[in-house]
Amino acid sequence: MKETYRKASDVELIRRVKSGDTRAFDELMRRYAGSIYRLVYSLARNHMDADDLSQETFIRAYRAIGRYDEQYRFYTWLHRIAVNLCINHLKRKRRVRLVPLPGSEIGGEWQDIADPKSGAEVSELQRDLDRALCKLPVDQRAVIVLRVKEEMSYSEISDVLKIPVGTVMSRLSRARSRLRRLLKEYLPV
Amino acid sequence: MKESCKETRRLLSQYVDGELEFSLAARVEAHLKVCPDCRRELAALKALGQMVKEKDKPPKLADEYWDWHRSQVWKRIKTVRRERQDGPHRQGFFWFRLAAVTGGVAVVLIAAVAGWRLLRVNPQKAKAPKVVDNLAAVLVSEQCDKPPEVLRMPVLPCVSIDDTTTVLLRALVETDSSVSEIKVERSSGIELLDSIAVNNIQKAKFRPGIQKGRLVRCWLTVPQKFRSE
Ligand SMILES: [Zn+2]
Repeated sequence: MKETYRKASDVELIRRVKSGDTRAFDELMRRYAGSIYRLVYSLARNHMDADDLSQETFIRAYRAIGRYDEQYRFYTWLHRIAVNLCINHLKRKRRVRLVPLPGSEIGGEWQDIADPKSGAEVSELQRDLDRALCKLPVDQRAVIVLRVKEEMSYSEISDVLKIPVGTVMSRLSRARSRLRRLLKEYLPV
Repeated sequence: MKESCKETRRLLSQYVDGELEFSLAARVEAHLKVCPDCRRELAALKALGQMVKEKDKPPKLADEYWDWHRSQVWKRIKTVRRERQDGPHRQGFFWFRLAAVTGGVAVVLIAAVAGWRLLRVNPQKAKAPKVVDNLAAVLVSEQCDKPPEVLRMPVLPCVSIDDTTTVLLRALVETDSSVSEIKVERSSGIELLDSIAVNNIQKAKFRPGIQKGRLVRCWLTVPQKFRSE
């Protein structure tokens, strides 16, 4: 039973979803949740948002499945939903300040667990890279992610973000000079 | 900077992407042949692209996370569908009141039906963290006259993450104010953080919930926020 779903093509699964088969949609999520999460994480840059936005992407896709056009790859369609969701969210989002926990005292007994080496090791370069990407304005971060990580062409980016190709070019160029400055110690002088 | 260098720098980003029209690309190449400064700049932009592509990675997530992720999607799809179906007649509210009147029996039934439907829709039942609570056994804080309270909570360590991260936990606070069960309602996606959060709750002090003047066992939702260092 499970096998049938695992072996079915995306198009077959979507046809099943359209006829009310929820398992088929579950299989589609199994296939693409990882990629969508990675995309959304590179745009949102934190797990809480990436978690929420990737879930929301599938919820919207499920509701809109009737309008899905089979001439596109399913992933392309999902990808588009995710990017737009993210950009809208990030533009609306105000930085949330940390709220101290009730009854929390400074300097508890857990200080020693904070050793970053005990978790997954993140190199200094990765931390600086992450910080630099966080500093980019949302518009610039989006074009960098879509171009460099998702390997989309200028016209594809222009299409997804609904901006002229000229704007894609100038944003990319600005994003690169900004990153170039922020990460100069890791790059050829 | 020379005029030809300025022109090259302006086009370099497009050149790296291979999106420059042929005649302009030829001009850039001609300039690069004679200008070591611009060649270095080109190398830097290429290295930058490589770096973003290869070194920028999301956190590694546990396998259970993805089962949980899918079950959350279904849960949210259903919640909205139910709200829509209820419409102006507020059928849900009626059921809620009926459940309140008939007490435990109805709650057990609803929980069972919800659990069964969740199982039916998801080919793979979500493993830990659990999503469906055994509502019949105890109250949740919203149902309490006086929900349990956090009296003392040890401070969480600062961790090397770049954003505030929250783990949402549910703690079953017993009538003797001990905590008998802790569930991860919403994982941070990082196992280490989740376990630190759970440990923290074990060290916390609670006051039990009160219903009609009596102490009751009650689930309490407790967020644990990690600050970046
Ligand atoms: Zn030059």
